[in-house]
Amino acid sequence: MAALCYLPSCHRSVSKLLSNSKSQGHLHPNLSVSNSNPNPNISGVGLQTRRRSSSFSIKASTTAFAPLEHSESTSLGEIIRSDFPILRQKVNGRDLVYLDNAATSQKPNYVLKALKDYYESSNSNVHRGVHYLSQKATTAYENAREKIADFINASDHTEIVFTRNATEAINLVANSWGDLNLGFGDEILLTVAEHHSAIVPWQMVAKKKGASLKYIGLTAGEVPDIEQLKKALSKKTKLVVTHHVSNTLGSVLPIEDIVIWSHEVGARVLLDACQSVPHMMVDVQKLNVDFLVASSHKMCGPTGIGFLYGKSNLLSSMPPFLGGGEMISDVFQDYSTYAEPPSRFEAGTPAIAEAIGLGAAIEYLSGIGMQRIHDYERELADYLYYSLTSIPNVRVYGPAPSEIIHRAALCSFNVENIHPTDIATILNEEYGVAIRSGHHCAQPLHRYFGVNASARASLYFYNTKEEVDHFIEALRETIKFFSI
Amino acid sequence: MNCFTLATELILNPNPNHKHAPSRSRRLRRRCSYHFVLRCSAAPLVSGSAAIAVAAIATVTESDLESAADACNLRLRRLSDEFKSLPEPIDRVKRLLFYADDLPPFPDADRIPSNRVTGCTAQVWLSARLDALGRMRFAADSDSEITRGFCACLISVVDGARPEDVLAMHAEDLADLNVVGVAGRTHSRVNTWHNVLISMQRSARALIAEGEGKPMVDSFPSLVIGGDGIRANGRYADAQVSLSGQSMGT
Repeated sequence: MAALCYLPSCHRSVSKLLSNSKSQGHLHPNLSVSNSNPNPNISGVGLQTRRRSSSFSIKASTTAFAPLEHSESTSLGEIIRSDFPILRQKVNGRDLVYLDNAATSQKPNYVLKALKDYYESSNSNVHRGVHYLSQKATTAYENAREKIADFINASDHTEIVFTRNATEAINLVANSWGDLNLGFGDEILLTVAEHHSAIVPWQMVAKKKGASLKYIGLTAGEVPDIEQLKKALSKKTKLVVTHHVSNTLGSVLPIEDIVIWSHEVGARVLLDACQSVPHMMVDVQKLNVDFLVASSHKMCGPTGIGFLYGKSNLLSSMPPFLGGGEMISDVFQDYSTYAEPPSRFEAGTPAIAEAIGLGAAIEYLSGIGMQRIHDYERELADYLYYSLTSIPNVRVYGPAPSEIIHRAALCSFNVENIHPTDIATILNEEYGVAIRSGHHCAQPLHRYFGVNASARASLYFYNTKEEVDHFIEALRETIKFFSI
Repeated sequence: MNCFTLATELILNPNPNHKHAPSRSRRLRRRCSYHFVLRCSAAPLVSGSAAIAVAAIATVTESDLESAADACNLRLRRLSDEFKSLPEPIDRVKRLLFYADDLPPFPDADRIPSNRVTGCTAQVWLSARLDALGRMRFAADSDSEITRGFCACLISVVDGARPEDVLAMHAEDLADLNVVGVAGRTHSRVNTWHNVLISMQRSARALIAEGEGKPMVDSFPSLVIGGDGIRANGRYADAQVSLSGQSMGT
């Protein structure tokens, strides 16, 4: 088999899906381990090493999933959860109910196998050798980059820079693009609902360059005030930093409109897509954002890898962030010349296995279909929201869902007179339910609401309505416990 | 003076002429021949505060008790045994809440930034002072009931100890207090034991420094990135100060 297959055998995960499916719909693996690429979600562009010229090319196979057919009797969560071995365990004798997906997602066998297979059969440093293993590893690594590019519809794979995570990606933009383009009096526009990783790097570079940060508040409906954002844009605005989906409010912003308004005043837009890319189709060309960041571990991929998308012309104009090997062209004693993007921003040996694992995660998600995932999570989102708000003395943050306002499948909430940490502790100890308590890396937002912390339940496509029911019942009992 | 106070005084005030340099190995070799029972009353957990009625039966042989550090270790061991005797997590939580109910009110005037315990997901305040005998006295509060329980337990171990004995405690000593969640060795933000103990030890260092007449530096909670600059705080500041040779308060 000349094909390079880091992808685990589909048979095991698919057979589980088939055996667990009670519906007529089945997952149909397309097990073509040849040079063909039947998966429309994954570009079939030449799977050769790109960044180093080499006469040796290895073609990688792709295994593809056809979309699941709709089932009326079995939800996506019920069908798919057998792919996630970690979900089978017990906590203090109770079945684990994992509702902390906004913090990190669980990994399917498909991804776990990809990681294992890489280290068992292909491990070698990338872009650095001419031997067989090096070529194998390099091809798989670059294939992963292409998968990401296709997944978000980037115009070219060179617009994808691998980073450690979204936080590092934002720091890269702040210290490279920001350092070059920001000056005294310039403004960076953010919302009060931004994650700390989208705030702190800009505080640091703004301090150095004499720029300032301006914050957009919330409407009465508890979503970022888009009208206020429009009015705040001016010739001084050089950058708008905004989330796509809020990790605390669950709200979704109209990014296309924000980009149009921002570009009209000459401002760039950096989109924090950590809570959107894992859950819905994101098309960077349609949105026309200048930068986009996301983390692998929130989308069924391993920790330790994320990516920055940047428009080609922008990345080409940016100086390096970290210095070292790989990002150079020539090194002399007193100066160096730098490589083209994305290499320019990928100093040192990268997280090769993790990048390949992320590629496998994208294949897995694409096989299910992002639209299907999104539709299922819409149902879960509404179910979670209305279930929570039916409990007395529970206050959920963010907008109420409606025909025009869609919430993500997460709810941050507080219970009157009970600290969220106490809630989360009892839910864990007594009921096996995992939620998060704290500020969710959104202290400015919590301060805006006048609270120090909140609890948060966040779902993913492997959760079920039954799990939501269990959480709600456990929460009711927990509230009773503290009320005695 | 009730039995508890008497027993406490006996434990914390051994023969003042006895010279002792406690060491871990010496404590391990020492046989503790006195009997001290610290028992929480079996008062039912009803709504509202339930007073802890402590029955202390003390037969203390001073020669067997060489330092107040032994008292801390003993109380820690008793506390650990108490929670270990409750196999169900929910019962351990109930016991924590029982301890929480016994925390005295925390003065609003002491809810100041320098009394905030950093690193916890809940808000925790901790104040410390030396009493007339030179022993540390602590007060604490939190917006989380379970965290108040943690604080109450920890205070029950170290309250009345010498500053040196508080400094001699290690976060690992609390590992056996597996009250809820993961055992005390984890370094996550939710490890209240660790965070509160660190704050207690900072207070102890500050009080020792004050007693020695060394200059105090205002404490700050963390590295602060603000519009007016980046200011060093916490461990970062500790490192800076240690390099400059200054004494650092808490």
